[in-house]
Amino acid sequence: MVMNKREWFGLLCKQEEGLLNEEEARLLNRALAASAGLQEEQERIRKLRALLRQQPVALPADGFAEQVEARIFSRGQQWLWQAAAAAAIVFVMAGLSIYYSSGSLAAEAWLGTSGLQPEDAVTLLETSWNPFK
Amino acid sequence: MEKIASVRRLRGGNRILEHHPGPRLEADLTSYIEQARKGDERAFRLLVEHFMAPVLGVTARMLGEGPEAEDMAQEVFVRLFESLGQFRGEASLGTYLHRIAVNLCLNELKRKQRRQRWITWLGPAVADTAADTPPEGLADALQQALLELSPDARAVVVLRLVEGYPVKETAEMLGIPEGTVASRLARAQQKMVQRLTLWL
Repeated sequence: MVMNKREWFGLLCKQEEGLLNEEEARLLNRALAASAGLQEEQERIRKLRALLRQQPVALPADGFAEQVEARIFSRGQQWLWQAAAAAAIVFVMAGLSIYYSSGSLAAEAWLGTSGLQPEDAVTLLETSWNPFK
Repeated sequence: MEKIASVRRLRGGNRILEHHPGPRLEADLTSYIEQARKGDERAFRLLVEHFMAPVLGVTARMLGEGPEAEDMAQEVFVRLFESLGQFRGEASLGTYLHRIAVNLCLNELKRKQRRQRWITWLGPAVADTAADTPPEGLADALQQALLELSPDARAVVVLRLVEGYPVKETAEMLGIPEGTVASRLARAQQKMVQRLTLWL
């Protein structure tokens, strides 16, 4: 079986993870015994893994916990502001829509009775559905 | 308080302690989690202080050391606070926090990639001079090689090779099959070995 460099590298990594099956292990061990280049590659992988394990742990800045608490507090207030902003937007949109349709922002306009002439009101009462009729 | 302080002194050198705390420490942490769940601010603060370095360890590896990593680490604890009620203790709190950390970082990195794509599409590409700066030493080179990996490959390397989670747990934390973890690990190690030829 002919394998390229990348495939051999894949086998070396699998070996480090303990994921090789019997056949792969036999194949790799035979190749390792015959190739100094492959042995060097194995050594490089092991060094890399050791270096990654030994990386120093980053230390948080002073006041980290206080900043977390401040964030939680501000996040708690944030939704109140968002709700207030949403309510304000709805109110303004409703006002604009009423103003656009009736040309006024008076109480009658909000109630929907401003544009009704007296004769229209009578017609409306006469033609509306009445269950007791 | 004293118990947690002694735990903190131990923390620096032994990452395994973070993932597999002993029975006494486990019991202490469980009681702090329980108290924090009931709204005890002091208990929550103790949890933050106990886990802030391991969480920052992951965000710094994923995003590079600096204010962004610290910001993301703080966000992890805000998410913990919001989800304490749902934490059932099936995994250790350290694992739970690492899972949140790595997934938040992945989202952030993918968001950045999308933004970068838009910027490149809208205008001429600006050369990233920081990426061309030669590393000053081995630690610097290692961090640079890590940051040159794709976000998905970096997440696998950080969880499996830096933090030492087994392949199975790494796969569970990232929501991908074990085979994908193994193949991403192999590709990532190959890239890093090529990048660090001078030092290995």
